[in-house]
Amino acid sequence: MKRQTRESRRSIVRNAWKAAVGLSIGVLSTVAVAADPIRIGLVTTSTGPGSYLGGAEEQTIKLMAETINKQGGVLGRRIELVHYDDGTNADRARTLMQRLVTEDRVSLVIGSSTTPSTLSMADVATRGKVPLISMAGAKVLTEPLRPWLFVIPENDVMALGVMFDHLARHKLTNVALLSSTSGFGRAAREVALELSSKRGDVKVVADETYAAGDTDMSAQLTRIRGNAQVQAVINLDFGNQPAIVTRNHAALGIKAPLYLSHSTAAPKYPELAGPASEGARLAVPSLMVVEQLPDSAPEKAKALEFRNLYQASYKELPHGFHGYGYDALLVAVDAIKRAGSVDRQALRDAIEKTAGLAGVTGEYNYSPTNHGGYVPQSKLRMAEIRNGKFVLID
Amino acid sequence: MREKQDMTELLQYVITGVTVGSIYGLIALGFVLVYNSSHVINFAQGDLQMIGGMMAVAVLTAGLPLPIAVVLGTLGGAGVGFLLYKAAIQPAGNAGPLPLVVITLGAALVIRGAAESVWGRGYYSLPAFSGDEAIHVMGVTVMPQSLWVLGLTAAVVIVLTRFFDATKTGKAILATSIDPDAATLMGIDTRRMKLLCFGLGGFLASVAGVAIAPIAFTYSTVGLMLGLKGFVAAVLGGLGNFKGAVLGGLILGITETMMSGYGASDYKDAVAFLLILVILVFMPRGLFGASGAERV
Repeated sequence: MKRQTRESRRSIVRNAWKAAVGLSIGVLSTVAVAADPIRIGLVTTSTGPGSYLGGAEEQTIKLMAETINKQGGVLGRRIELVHYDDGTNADRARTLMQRLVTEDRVSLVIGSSTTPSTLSMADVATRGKVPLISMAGAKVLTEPLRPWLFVIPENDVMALGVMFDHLARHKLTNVALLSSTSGFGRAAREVALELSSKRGDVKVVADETYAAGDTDMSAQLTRIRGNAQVQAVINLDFGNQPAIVTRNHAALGIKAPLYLSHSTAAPKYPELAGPASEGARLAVPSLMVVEQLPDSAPEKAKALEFRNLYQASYKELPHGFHGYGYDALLVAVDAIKRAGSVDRQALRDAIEKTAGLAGVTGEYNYSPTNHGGYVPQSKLRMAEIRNGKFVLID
Repeated sequence: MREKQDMTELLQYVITGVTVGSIYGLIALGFVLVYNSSHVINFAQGDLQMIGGMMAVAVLTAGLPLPIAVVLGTLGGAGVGFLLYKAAIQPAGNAGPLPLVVITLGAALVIRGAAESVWGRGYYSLPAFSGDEAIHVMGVTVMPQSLWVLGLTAAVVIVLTRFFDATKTGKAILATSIDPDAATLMGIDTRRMKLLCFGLGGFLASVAGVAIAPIAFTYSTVGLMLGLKGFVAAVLGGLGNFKGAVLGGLILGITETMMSGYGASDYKDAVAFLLILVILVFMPRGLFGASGAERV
């Protein structure tokens, strides 16, 4: 017993040495940045069903923090990320948030990637008075407004609004919904039904669902094909199943064009679905189509710069969720600079005063009555898949 | 006119149901094979299927042609099946079926985790074996890859049935399953027989994985849901019977599809599982379950 204790004490000493050496190497390499680091908490959904979102955001924020540190940091101080993965588990997200606030003593938290995780973190943020910047996009996050919570992506209602505007403009007013019964699909379906009844110009004439893990949606699509009223098919889901829907839609020879959720907007989608994805339409974050944007678009320069940097580091193109990660850190850094300190209250007030800040997915404006960051006009743009690429359309 | 369209729709539902069902059936065959030899339900079966698909994608990405990727993918699954027996099942010795089932559950987590760290969490696709051009017959659409799945399922059933009926090794496996002690006394190396079955089980799972990858894609957690459906199909067909497993898969697939087509697609899984409950209440041994000793 005694021997064991000595052993473990010795290993503690050894580890302390290692840490000291590591630390001094770290300090030497960033000798220009002498003061204490700025501690920013980061919670992403990097494993589990939501990993597709969180993985991209984690990669981006780590890359950008590193880049900022190389350029001398913020206020002459390094950024130190304290990162945790919530594993698509809202309870875990709450525990991690608690840890960031009380043990890690961070100045601000970015996270998480999904709405349920963000909601459970927001309670802790309010109680602990820590600013929280979320990368999730449901309307419930900003209505009602929570004083310590700020949201980066525009909400699901606005995103679907872009699609509905397009449908109405092109007189495709009778639509069929085909949604997944997963949490995301269910929520999106409800938003679509509500939006349709509120607007009145786009009517839902068929409403089908499929389960997570299903390998073939031909039955649901055959039923939709049999409905002569249907002018467009809207698939609400993310991950691999939209690609299966796309292939079934093409194989069954359905004439009504296929519309997909903006969460599907990643280079992976046309790659998985193959030639069947030709002509599929979806609202995309401008980062996906940056080279096609007019030069007047406020996000163009920064988006191009980020895309090249990301591509150089990871050998692949970033998609919208990378963009949300970038913009979350951007909003945080901008607030720290303007506040001139890392005081939690000062940071909250500074974020609330964010105005005309160009990110890679759009321009950010917050106010005491708007914590959604968006301006009335959506930041998403309609694109169509042509030759496997996302092409801007009217 | 309306009647003709109804007929086409019905046919399309049947064809889709058979396509989906043969996928479930192909996965169910692996469950049955392992169960026959060791009375263990190998819950890592779904993840072995994922290994097959992932390995085939990895080989293809490395620049080798599709046929070689398919072969190496299936052999990879067989290899992991062998490894599963050697590293986890054999050391447990004479533990009863229940502890062994728990071991396979743990092994499934390990395999999934390992795959995630090697290949990441992305989705991958394999090109269809003979093109993506849909076949249209009387207004009904079939994808060529679905015919591959159907054909492979049929071939596997025929070969396995022959193997167990007509070869010495097959009979030795059966003997091991019925009474391991008596089999040992008759000079059968029961460990080798079980090893062989876990390997074959891995092989079957990865045949399924490779055949399905062009339809449903492959990713680290693909085995979860498909493994469950395959297991249900196996139970439905009377665990231990090859033809029953395939039939169980087809019944499950067609029920699901009919429910999506004519009922509410929201309830399709609920109805499929309800059907299984009903069948198992009235036929506790499944559709083809024979009495105790003569499974297969």
